[in-house]
Amino acid sequence: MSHSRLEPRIASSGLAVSPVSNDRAQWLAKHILPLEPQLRGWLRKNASKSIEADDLIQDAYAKLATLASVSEIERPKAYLYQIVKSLMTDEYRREKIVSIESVAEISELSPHDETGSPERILSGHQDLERLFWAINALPAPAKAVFVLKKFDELSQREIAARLHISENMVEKRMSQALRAIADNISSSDDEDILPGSRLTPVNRFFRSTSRHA
Amino acid sequence: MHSREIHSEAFDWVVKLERGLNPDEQSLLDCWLALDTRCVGALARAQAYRVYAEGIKKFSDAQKLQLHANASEYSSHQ
Repeated sequence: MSHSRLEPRIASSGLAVSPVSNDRAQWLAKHILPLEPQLRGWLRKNASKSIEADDLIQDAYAKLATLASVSEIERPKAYLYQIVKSLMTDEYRREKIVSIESVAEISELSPHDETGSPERILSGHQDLERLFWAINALPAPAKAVFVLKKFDELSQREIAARLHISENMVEKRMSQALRAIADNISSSDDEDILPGSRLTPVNRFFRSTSRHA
Repeated sequence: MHSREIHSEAFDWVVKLERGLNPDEQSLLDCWLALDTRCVGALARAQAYRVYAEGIKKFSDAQKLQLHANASEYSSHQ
């Protein structure tokens, strides 16, 4: 696995940046999140070793986060891959490791083969099943906080009292829970999954069976 | 900064945003977002995963019961 870049890239626009609106978060959750596993697989096949998928995906989300509007985007997948290819081109130019011909070839790369391995665009029901298994696979402390907050809708203070931990610890565990869910949902099948995001056998079994269901 | 570090901090911010930031935290968040474009993307991505995780509210009763039993068992041992 290549190393994440250590040099920061600062947005040149100079515009103030802020968290995305709820609408934009909803749009990203609906149209972009489900594409992540296949995008990671695609990058492993098509990007040079110098490109770290996590860097590139964060940069791609930054582009999508700072667009004035997404309502004109009719084909989010094509749009995402266009952004990704443009970021790859920038990166290769910056590193000067790839010939101009190769840079030109990036534009020829097609998004994930439609006829190849099945896409992880799941139906609403399958999506919920995956979420369930991701939550079910959480370590007990993080799972308890997540469930008490999301099902019982307890406040942080109430959760802290119930579990005899500080409110700060409640937040830490909530963050861990969301992060582990994201790692689980976004990883691609053939990826060397990072420690902590490894799928449980039951989860992997579920995945391999559900997609043929 | 390593992208894994940014990834992790982004989820910390999402949790804080959900309960509301105090002025000091707001300044810290503004600085953090200005550090690197990847922070902007990582936060938006984490916000999207928070939305996605709200799907928990649509779980079947059986699924809810199972998760709830796990949580109750854990909290009763604390």
